[in-house]
Amino acid sequence: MRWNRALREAGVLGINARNARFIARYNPRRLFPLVDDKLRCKELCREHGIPTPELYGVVEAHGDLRRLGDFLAGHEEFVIKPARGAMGNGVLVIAGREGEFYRKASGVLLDERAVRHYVSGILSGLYSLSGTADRAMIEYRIKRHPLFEPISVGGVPDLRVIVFKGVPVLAMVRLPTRKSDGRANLHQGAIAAGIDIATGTTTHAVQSSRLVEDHPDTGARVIGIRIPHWEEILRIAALTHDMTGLGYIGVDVVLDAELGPMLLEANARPGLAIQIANFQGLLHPLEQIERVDTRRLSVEERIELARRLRSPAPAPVEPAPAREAVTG
Amino acid sequence: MTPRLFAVAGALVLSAVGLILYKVLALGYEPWPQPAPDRWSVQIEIPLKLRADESEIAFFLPADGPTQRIYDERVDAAGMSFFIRPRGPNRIGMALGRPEDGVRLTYQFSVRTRPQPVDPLPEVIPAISEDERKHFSDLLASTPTIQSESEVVAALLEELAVDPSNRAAALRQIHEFLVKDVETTDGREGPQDAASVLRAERGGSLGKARAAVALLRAVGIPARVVAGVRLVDSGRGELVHWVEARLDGRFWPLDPLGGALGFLAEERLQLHVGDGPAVEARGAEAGYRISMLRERETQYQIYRRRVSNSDRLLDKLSLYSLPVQAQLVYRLLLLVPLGALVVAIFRNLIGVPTFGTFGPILLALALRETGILWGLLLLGVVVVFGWLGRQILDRARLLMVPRLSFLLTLVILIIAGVMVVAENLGLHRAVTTAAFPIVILTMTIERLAIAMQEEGPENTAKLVLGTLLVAITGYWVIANDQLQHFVFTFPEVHLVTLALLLVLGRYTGYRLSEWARFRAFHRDGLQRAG
Repeated sequence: MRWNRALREAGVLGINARNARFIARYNPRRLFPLVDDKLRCKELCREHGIPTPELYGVVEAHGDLRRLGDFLAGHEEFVIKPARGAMGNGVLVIAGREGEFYRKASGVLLDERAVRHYVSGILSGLYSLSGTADRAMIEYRIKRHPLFEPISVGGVPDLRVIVFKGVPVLAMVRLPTRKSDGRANLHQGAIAAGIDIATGTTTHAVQSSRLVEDHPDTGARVIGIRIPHWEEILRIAALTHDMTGLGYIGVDVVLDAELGPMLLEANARPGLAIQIANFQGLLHPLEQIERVDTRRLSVEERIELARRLRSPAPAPVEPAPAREAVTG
Repeated sequence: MTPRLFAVAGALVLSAVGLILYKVLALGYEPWPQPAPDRWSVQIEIPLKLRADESEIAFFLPADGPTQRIYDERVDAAGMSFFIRPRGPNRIGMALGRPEDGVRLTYQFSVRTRPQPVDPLPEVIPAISEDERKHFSDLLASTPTIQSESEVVAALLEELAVDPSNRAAALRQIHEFLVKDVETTDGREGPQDAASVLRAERGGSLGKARAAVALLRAVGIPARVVAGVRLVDSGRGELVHWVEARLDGRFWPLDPLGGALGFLAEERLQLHVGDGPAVEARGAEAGYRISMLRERETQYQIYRRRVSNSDRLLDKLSLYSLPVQAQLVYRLLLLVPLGALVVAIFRNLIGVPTFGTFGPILLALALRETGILWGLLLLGVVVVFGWLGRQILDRARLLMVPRLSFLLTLVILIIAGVMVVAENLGLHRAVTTAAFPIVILTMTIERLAIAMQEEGPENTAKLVLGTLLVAITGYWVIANDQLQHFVFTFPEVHLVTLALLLVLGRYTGYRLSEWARFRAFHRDGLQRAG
């Protein structure tokens, strides 16, 4: 079939190939809990010195619900999410307080009883991957970086980097829109903007697989944006491979206005939409990296390798970014 | 695709083909079920309307004869006492007692028909002798409905110039007259006794048979009316009457409707001899309905008999050696892998999203029990009402397990409600729905509600349509009788299923859905929005 050959020539990675050739081969099952459980992942990050949003508290069981008020005391804004949720499901963002009420990011007010019920839903496994009992984590609410102000509506954009054997392969930023209800969820209508690994600049942007240049709600241009702290973001992505031991992962990084890039979570079954955002197939770079023994390469060498893979043409001359030490 | 995997898959396919060929060619197994042409399952239903306290219902039961054999008789006498008595050449069933108003007597049996040898009627048969006249006086007598001594009979015989000295020729003449010159009606236009029919030269099945018998008796041919039904695949039986003439030491059938002489042109069940009504009732008003079904189970019976008598290893190892109850279970279970194969194809080759992995197959199994239209209707009603209930339940903010249990209870109550309504509307099929996969339905409703909240109505609609598509395709596979027979007779065909699943499991090509998803890569790039 013609389309079949065209996709193969473009190097598009399909679901079957992703599962059989990469996930099954490079992601050992026993390592999945490291990323599926965000609390374990956070713990690992602390050990490896990867920055993550600060954890305010964990609700382990329904018995702890009474103490929920104590956990929340002193925090104007925070995020409640399930430790084992998938695809950003079950995340409650509290943007502030009004008297005894909590204000959601959307402006809706919740009383403490409603919040408690929400947490209890998380605990009974409503949002967890397997439907089994879960824990709820309360953490720091990311402050949107000023650069993203004009190009996102509602929530915070996040950056997704596909990392294969420790080498960043493709990257995109997901920009929430009104259509996606302020969530960075692509199939609900968020914008996906592909990022050139070498320069950290957005190159293409799509919304529901359609090319866009401007944000539909704000009208601001979404391509040609240089992502700040790009070097650090690539470092976090590459380090996440070392930390988890998973060969093929999607690393989600958020950019805080004050604290810089932080690891949000890692995904052992990352989606394929990133190829449309970059208008670039994953298969060719993956096959190239498959032939390289990356275990002996340092993080810097792997990022360098990623740059060479992505940009056959010489990258525009620019001052070398200052390399900051990762703070623990 | 590794060569070793290919080799294993190939070996599985080859062994399956080899075993099947051996069974077909060497052991003579039939790949497709052969319907038994001569076996029928028949049911007589007699609905009763009571007119008095004590009722007495008598109806004819078919008896063994040269063309039929009756077996597996079952009777449901609706609480009355029931017994079987001979009456003349017939058998009658008698039901006595005080049944409730509106009940029905049912009498079921199986019949195996045998074709009657077609012999030509001799050219010349002499006039009746005194011995014969004495011996068959019953078959020669004039009765109130078969007036063989009436004037119209005598006049007709004279008009036709029938000669009683050659009874073979007389028989042919009378038969021809009735077939060609007496118009056939539905028998409701007037009295159906022999004289009236002959006078009007038109009559129904019973009237024409009586007329023929009257004429035959008048020329000295012993004859009688026979009642029965045509065995037809449409399943609805209507009483038909024909004639038997006693000549040359045997009975010759004559069909004044179809025109056959000396044989019956179609498969018929003989119910009784005589021109009386099929059912007589005292103290009640009795209806009469007869229905039939061609038995297709016999292929299994043939195999089972053969397997139980066989010493061959493959016969002994076949599923036909299992007890019947287990066979029924395995006939269904052996189709489930094919359903799973359908799911694998839809998910991995086509990329159709579904609720749960095997949910659609369990739905397909349920649809097989209920029939597709009724099943889909029931499914729709349960899911819609369950989902509405779930929406209301959402406000109560229940914990997960109690919420799911609540939903489960709701689903069972909805199904029970639907069944009661259906039963009262006269849809008896609903009763077989008890096996509907309640847990699957509950989880489907829960997932549907969550998908509506998290993925929006558009993606949820895709999931619903995908699930229905896979379930209906699965149903189409599972409900196929031919396939069921084939898989049960040749279970080794599942080696091919395993091989296909192995190959499918290592398929790393694109799914059909990815044609649409990544169309930017095989068309002219990304399309601009707006």
